[in-house]
Amino acid sequence: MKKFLLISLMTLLAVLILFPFLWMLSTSLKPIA
Amino acid sequence: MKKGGAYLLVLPAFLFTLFVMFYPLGQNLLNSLHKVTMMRDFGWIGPANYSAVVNDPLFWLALKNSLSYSVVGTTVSMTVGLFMAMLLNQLIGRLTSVFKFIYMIPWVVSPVVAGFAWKWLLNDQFGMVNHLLIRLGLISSGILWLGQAQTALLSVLIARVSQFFPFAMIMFYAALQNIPQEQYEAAEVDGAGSSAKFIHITLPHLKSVAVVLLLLGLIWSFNDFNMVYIMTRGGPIHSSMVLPVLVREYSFVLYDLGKGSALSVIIFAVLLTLSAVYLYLLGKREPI
Repeated sequence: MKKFLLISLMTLLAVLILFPFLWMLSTSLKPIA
Repeated sequence: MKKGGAYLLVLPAFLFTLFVMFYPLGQNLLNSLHKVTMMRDFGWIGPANYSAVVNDPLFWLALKNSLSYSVVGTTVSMTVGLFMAMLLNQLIGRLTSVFKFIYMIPWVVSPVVAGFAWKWLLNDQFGMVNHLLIRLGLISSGILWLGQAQTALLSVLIARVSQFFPFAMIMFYAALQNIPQEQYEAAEVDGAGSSAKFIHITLPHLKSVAVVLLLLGLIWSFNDFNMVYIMTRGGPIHSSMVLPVLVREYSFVLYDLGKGSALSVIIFAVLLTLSAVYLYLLGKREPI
C-alpha cells in the first residue's frame, strides 16, 4: 500500500514537472489560429 | 621531457584562455574606467562610472532583486530537491531510475526553452495556469503574472526553482545513498522515530553537500541572465530587474558601455568572493 501511494505521488510529480514541456509540445503542434 | 617542453605543450591552451577569458576581463575593467559609448571611447574618467552606478537607485533595486532571486530561489530549490531526493531514495525498485530521468529533464533543457515554456504557461490570456485557476474557481479573471509588479519576480522565481531543483535533487540523492544503513538500524533499536532519524542522521550527513549546493546555487542564480531576460526583461517598471539584466540595459539600451562595464566589475567582485568561499570549503571538505 505504501509503495503504491509512493509511486502515485511520484507519478503526479513527474506529470507536474513535465507539464510545461508537454504544454509547449502540444502548442507547437497546433496550427496558429 | 625537459620542463621547457611541458610549458610548450601547455602554451596553446594558455594562449586560448588568455584570449577568451583574460582579454575580455581586462578590456571590461578598462572600459569601466573610461567614458565609452557604443561608437567610441572618450577617454579616462576614473571611478566616475562606479559612482554613477552606486548613485543610481535602479542599481539598489536590482541588487535587492538579485539577492532575493538568488537566496530565495536557491533555498526553495534545495528544499524541493531534498524532498524529491528522499522520495527517490525510497526503495521502489527499477522505477527509481525512470523517475530520476523524468525529474532531471528540466535541468537538461536549455533555460531559454524553459523560460519560453513558463512565459506561455503564465500568459494572462492564453496561459494554462490562469485557465486552471479559473476552472478551479480560485480566481474570477486571469492574473497578469508577468505584467504586474507584485507577481513578476515571483513568476520568474517559480521558473528558476523548476530549473534548478533537479541539480539539488541529484546531489542530495548521491549523498543519501552514501549514508550507512547501520546508523538508521541502530537508531531504530534505540527507539528513534522517523523525524528523529531525519534530524540526527540524515541532515548531518547532508551538511557538506548542502553548503556546496548553496554556494553554487547562489553563484549561478546571481549570474543568471536568461530566465529573467526571457520572461520579463526586468519589467514591468523594473520590478523584476536583476543585476545581469541591468548590465545589458546600461550597455545596449542606454548605450553607456562604461557604466555597464563598471556594474559587471561589481558583479564579478561579488561572484569572485563567493567562488573563493566555495573553493575554500571544497578544499576543506572531508571526502564523503
